[in-house]
Amino acid sequence: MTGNDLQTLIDFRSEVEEPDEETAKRIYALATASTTWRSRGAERLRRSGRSRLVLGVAAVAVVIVPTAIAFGGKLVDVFEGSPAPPEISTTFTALNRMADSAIQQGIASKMPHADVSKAHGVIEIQTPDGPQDLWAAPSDQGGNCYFIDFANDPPGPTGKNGFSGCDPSPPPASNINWGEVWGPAHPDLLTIWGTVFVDGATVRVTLDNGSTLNLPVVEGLFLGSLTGSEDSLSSGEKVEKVTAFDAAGNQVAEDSTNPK
Amino acid sequence: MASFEDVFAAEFRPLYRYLRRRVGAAVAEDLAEAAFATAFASWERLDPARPARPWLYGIAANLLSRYWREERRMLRAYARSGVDPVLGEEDEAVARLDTDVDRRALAAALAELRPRDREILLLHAWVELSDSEIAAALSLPVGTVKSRLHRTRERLRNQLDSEGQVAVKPSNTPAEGQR
Repeated sequence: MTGNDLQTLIDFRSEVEEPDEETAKRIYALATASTTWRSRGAERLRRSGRSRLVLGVAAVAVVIVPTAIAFGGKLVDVFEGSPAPPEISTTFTALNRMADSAIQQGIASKMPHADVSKAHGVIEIQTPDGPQDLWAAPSDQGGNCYFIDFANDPPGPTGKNGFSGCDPSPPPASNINWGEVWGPAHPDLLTIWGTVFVDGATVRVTLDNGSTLNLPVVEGLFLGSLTGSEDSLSSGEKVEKVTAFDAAGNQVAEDSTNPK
Repeated sequence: MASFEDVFAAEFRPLYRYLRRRVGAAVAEDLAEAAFATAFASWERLDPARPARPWLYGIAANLLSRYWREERRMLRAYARSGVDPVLGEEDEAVARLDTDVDRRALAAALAELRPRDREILLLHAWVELSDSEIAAALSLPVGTVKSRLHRTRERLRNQLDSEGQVAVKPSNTPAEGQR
């Protein structure tokens, strides 16, 4: 690249202007709108002085607030509802093939299939390993099939590596279905996700040491991440129960069974 | 350590402008908001010794990575048509037919770069981050940044030197030549 070429590059779209003061004020107000979440997390940190895992939980709780809530709903435009990219659609397609194969082999008489054409983003959270995304597609047996991946992980020939599943049909009596999973590719993170089958706005995840993590519910789904050492995360369950609340703060469901 | 308010005051406008140049005004506003919201939420965890600027552009790069297809589509559209969607979106009056073949060839060449290479090149050329700052922003070794920047510039030079004869790959139609 010659000096002239570099100058052409530097000048490319240089006519784009900086934003005005009004835009700056608006963005500042929106970007700092997550104060409530931040101060709650910071307060919990100051009070507890608990183990490394719990500290990790509190710290990540500040960061992982799903974008749809943390950014005043603005990021719904960025992620929630965004069509799944090819590598995610490929993953859902591969999961459907696996369901077909299981049925053909007599492993199951019926298994849910995702409507790949309607696969879309639901929640994105920020983790120490980069963005983690929850994608969903309607299930032909009601509810959703979902897939959770780390955005920065490269896709393979059959899609991306991640965690997947479909809502049970009928829903569980507790009206909450949830799971927690740890994977070797991200050894310091424990992923918690689930579905609330009633009108829930938030869930409170209670860990076995009594600390809690509050997560928003988007399209009936929630996603969270805990940090800790590999040993602490891979050697047992850390979540004791999940409790859902409606927008008014009333408890609407609770599940304390082992994750599926 | 500077306060979040100080960093916002210093960095918001250039970051927003950088995002606009990459993906246009409509997406840039959301991305700028997301970048600063992420920074705000993580502020207390930021190492005081770590410069905020590369860190902010690293957050922005993560967010931008989701839009590489849109960015490529706009670059290809500009190369093919001479109308830059980014500038047209900015102001209809600017949506003109651009006869500057160098710029159109450059757009075509930028469109064909790998997203991460484009990120490195534009952080270098538009934001004027140093190699070490780019490395910090993208969590890459400095040596990797240097080599990829060198390779990317070589690749662009080769494409631009061939009299701007840069093949533009349309989304849904057979390949066609530029110029």
